[in-house]
Amino acid sequence: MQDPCTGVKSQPLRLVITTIPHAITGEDIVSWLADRFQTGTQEARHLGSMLVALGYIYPLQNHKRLVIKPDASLYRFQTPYFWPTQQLPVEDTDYAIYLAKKNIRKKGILEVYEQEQYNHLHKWMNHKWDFIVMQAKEQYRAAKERKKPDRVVFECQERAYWVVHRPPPGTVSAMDYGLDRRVDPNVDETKTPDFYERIMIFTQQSIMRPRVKSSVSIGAMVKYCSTYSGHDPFLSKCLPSNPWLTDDVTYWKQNLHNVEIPTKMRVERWTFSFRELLSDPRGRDDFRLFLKKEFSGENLAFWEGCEDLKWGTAATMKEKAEQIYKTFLARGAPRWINIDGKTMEITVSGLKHPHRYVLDAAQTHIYMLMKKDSYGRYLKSPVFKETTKKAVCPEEHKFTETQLEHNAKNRRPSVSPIVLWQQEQEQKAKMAASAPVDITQLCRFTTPVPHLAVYSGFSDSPSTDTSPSLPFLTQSPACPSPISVALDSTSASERRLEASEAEGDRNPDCGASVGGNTCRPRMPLSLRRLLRRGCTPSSMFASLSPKCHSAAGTSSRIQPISREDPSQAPPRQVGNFFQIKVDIPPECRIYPIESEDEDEERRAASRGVGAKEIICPWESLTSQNGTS
Amino acid sequence: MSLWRWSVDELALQRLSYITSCFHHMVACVGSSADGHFLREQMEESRRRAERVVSALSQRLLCQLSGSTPSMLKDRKSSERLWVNFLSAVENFLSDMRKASHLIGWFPLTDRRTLVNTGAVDGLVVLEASPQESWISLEEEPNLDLNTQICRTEQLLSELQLRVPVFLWAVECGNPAWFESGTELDTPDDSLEDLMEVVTHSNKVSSCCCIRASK
Repeated sequence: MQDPCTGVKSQPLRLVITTIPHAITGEDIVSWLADRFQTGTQEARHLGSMLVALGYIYPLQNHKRLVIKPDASLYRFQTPYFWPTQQLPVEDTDYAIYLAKKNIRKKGILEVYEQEQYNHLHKWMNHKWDFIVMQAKEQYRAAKERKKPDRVVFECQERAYWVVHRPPPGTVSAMDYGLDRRVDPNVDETKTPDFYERIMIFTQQSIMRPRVKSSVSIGAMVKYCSTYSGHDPFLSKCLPSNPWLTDDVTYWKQNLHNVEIPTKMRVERWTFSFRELLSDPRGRDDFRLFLKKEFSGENLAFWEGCEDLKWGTAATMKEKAEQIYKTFLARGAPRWINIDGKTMEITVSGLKHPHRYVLDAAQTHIYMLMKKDSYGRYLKSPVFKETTKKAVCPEEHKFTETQLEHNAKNRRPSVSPIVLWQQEQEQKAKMAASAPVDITQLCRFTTPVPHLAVYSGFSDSPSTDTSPSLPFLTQSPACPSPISVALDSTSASERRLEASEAEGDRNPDCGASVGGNTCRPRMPLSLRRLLRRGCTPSSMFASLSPKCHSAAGTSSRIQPISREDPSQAPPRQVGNFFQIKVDIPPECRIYPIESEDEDEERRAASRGVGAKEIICPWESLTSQNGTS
Repeated sequence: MSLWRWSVDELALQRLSYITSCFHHMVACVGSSADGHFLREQMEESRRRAERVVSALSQRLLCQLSGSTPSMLKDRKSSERLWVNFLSAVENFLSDMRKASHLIGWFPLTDRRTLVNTGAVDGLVVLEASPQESWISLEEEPNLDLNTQICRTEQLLSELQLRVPVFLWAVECGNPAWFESGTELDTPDDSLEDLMEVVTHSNKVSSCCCIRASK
């Protein structure tokens, strides 16, 4: 670069005292770089700035600003001693000596930040301070013995060096590279047995790694790119305009979390994958609304609760886990979620010693459930169609130069994130408070499938007083519930038959475990058996209790549950996930989600009380879980 | 007797300091346009001298501090201070030597065109022969290679730290933080800003550092 023929034109720098050779102008540097590397001027400027910022070239005027100015401002090459390489480490001792020298030279007048550094070093290097002062004096004296121009040059060099390595406050340092590496990658590694062992482990792991065909992975990448390319603000236009470029914040305003009407692009992203839908707060709201209409809101609520647990503070973890258990997982919980027995078991046993990821299995189950099931229906639902229709597609801004300047002048800070966070918390609290409402509405339309409880039941006598669900009783014989319609008619009728017959037999066996033969209307209804998407057992009991009373009267004896097994067999297959909708029946579906092992487990459990019962760590066997 | 001894040691330390600062200046010129064979020779010369001073001083201080002579507390303190300063000086010199070896490796002086045009023309700081070095018993060592010297100095440093039970950080310094430099340094010294005033073609003197008003 300094070659007299092909390098940057250098000129002598004329000072008052003398002339110093080898000064170069910024514009010459930039043009040379552009020429040499065959790039544009912008690129050359960036490269030049990097060189200056790293300290290979230093500016002679305005020495604190380490950029290249493509005009007649002057620069000079830095001596190799002051180059920023790892082999020439920067030491605090050297800096202390430099500051001491400067102190001598300027008789105590240093810049503020330098003074602070000086004091700091004095404190931490107190034991060396005599040496530092002595060395500073000696170096100063030695410098004086040099010729004046050389002395000037050296002092400029040193000053530039320390501007790079101890930048003044408020400047961005190019030296910020994070932590030092433990090992120097350029050094040859000694071949110890440990070294070979590491190589062996590495190669073994490479062999064991699962492999995907490159065609497959490339296909996936191509698919991803083609899906998202229209949405990437770097690759395609950002409507209405990119705020970073035009200083117009409409884009951000339109894409806030709680905006009423989302943009078309945003809505389109929700169709890409379930993850996209959930990660966008507006999308999640929409999905929540949809689930509310379908009475399966507890899935999403549970999932959100799990996320909250995972990402929350450690102090609140235990309470959160307890809360989630009580709300979603316990027997008779108000927003009971439907997960299979194995997962339930793992979760509940894990809850004895709650930690952040204790609900992971259940959360994954619910997530997959929502993804495979609700998500598809959401995309076809009227809620989504409505949202898509209302979604707005903003016009592209076309700002003129003056308008851009005007925008730049009118930049304002946006809403503080603290305020936004508070709003979100309020929203959450509001939602939590109103959560159970959607569930009771449900019960008019559900049929309790009176499958037998497997687990120890619990009494819910107080709830027998609730009457609102009574009407459904009248409905069920007269107008079959939507579920029955969807079912195979034989099985439905069979079920209904059984329902009336077997009522009496349904008295809990586990009543025995608690204290025997009581005629109390304990409904051993397994929540798993019940038909619900948010159907509270209390309402179920209420609906059933009249029957029960009558039945109890007839058969006061308590029959072992196992007896009912055969009678249960057919309905069990149908009784699981019913899709209950407020609107017309034909869309009801049955979800054969419960696994085979669940069936077996049920059977096994129903065979006797001695079978494994899932016991909540927070409640005893006999406690009334009621409406918690 | 002890008074004389202290002053000798302190002078020796000062001498070492002087030599190392000259070395520092010279190393800063390696690879630049001020580099040259003569500079390199001077560097060799200075580091050899430094080596001599270092070894001699280390022996003396070692005797004093690890010796069983029950010295007074005050003596002990100043002796410790001297020790700390000496170790710091050796460390500093060592780091300069390491840098020098890297730089010499990169700029082998075979081709003058590879040297960086830094504007410096002559990097020499001529080392004065000091009569004070005569007290050092001259054991004519064979001429040490730079790298060998580096290794030897490293070994010496670690050895010294092991043998003398002085806590480096426990030693307090004698100088106040914001010392006033002695008058002998206050030569009428143009500040850097003055020196940097550039004469432009239009005969207007504009300041490089934007501090002084134009004349």
